[in-house]
Amino acid sequence: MTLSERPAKVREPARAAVVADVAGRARAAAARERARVYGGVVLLGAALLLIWEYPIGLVIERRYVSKPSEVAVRLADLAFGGGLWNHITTTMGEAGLGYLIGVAVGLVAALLLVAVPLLDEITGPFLAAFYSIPKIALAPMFIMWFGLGALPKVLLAALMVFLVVLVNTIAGIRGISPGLIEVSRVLGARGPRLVRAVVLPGAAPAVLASVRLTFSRAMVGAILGEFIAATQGLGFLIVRSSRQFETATMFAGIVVVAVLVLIVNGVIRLLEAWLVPWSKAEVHG
Amino acid sequence: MVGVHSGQSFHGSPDSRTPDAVRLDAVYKAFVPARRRRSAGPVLALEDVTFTARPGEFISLVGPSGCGKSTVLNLIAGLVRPSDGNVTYQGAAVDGVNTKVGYITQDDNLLPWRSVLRNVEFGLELRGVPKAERRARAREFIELVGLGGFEDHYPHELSGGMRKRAGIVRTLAYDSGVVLMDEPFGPLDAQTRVILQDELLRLWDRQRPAVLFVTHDLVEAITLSDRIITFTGRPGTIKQEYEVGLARPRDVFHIHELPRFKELYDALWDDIRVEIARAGTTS
Repeated sequence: MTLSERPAKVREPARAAVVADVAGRARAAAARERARVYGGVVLLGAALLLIWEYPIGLVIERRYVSKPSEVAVRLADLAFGGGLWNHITTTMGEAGLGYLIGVAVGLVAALLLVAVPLLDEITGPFLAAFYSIPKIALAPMFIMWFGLGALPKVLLAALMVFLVVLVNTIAGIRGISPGLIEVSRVLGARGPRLVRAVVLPGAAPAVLASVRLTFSRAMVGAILGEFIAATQGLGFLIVRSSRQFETATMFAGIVVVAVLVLIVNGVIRLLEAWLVPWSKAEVHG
Repeated sequence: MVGVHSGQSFHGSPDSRTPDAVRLDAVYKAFVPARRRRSAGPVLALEDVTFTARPGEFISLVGPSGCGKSTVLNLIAGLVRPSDGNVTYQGAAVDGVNTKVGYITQDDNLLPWRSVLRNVEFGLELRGVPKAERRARAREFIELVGLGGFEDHYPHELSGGMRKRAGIVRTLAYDSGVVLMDEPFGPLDAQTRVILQDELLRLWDRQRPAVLFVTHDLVEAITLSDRIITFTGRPGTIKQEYEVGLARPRDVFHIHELPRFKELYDALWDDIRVEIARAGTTS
């Protein structure tokens, strides 16, 4: 008998049992973990709503904070005959259009700056200065210049999106491994073909991550514009109700904004998973 | 002196009118360092490098790190220009990116968003090969390296060895006359390396392109090559050329048992060791 001698045959049933056992335990552990997380989420949510509904009135005067039940009733009133849909379409239209403009201009500008490094160096200080201005400071000026309609809100939304997309697209293109570009060039890719086949897909994960996260910025831009001067839209609804101490309406507006952003982000995330199944990326800005 | 280049290759073209696959003639290459270190002045990477690769010849370039071996490949690929001297490819001066060569790097550099099949097709696609033909050709090469069944996998779903195989057949699929390989097996584990060396020799034997193979591994250089060129440390100059003189086809798993192998290995080591010691004291 030597050390290396083994039983002639693996005991097939034993092996299957071990594998099945381990798999079962892993599944059970994962299920327990999920249950703990979901349970925790539900508990925390319920606790916050309950505190808001009852004891918080002991500390803060009720008309400043409203209650979840009142907010829910207000939401239903607004939805059925209270003009909520008009507010939603106004704000979503401004934010959506501004978002598309901001993304398109950001992408084109990024490609241009990468293609012409001199232009990048020359515009660099100006873009950096512009980046450092809080966009909220520009809102009154935009209203003054472009009036009370949708235009200043669309432009504010576009502005909120543009620079983030620009910066992330440039970072995405610069992040492509130089070796990948060199090998592709030797393989015969050049000019527009190189851009289409290598540069754009290579930058896509970073670009799409920024495109996903900037929709909420477009909403900020549109709502900001509506805060300052508007006759329609969710921002207008929120700011008007806060001035009139209609706290329930104000919270209803905030809830609607949050839900809209979550829905749009979910849709963009699905698009992203479908467009770039090969990668995930971090976003800057 | 052992095995100094004798002027005739075993696999040199029988037709003397066929131009050399690659020729470097008194090539110098100096680099200006990155901007913040520019004050240090240009660095001479290659000095007076002259050699010829005949069609179908397998040549390894060995030498200490930073001796400009990779620069030689980049010059032939047209990714960098010589500061002085001439680089010719199949009789014509290299001007701009040389898309006639195959170029295989240490990183596999597969396109992460393309499946194995579409990666292998990429070079053919860029050369305008019709879809049906390039697909058939890509499949043939994929089968050849045992990647059949993985055509629709993305690179990140493959092991390092499988990615390397895909990268190699992507280059061989378009049948270039010269293949440049820059430490292609560097990142692989020792066992996978030997198996891939075996596969590379079988693939090479089908088309017999000239190969310029940069490696740090002397065993690999002897196993694969017809000729080995050793470089000095920076600035890189050619130190010595060795004819390997081992019969083909070669058995990569047992070649190290041959007396000629041991003799060459010792000679190469003596040669390289001096340069590494020198590079270590100057850098």
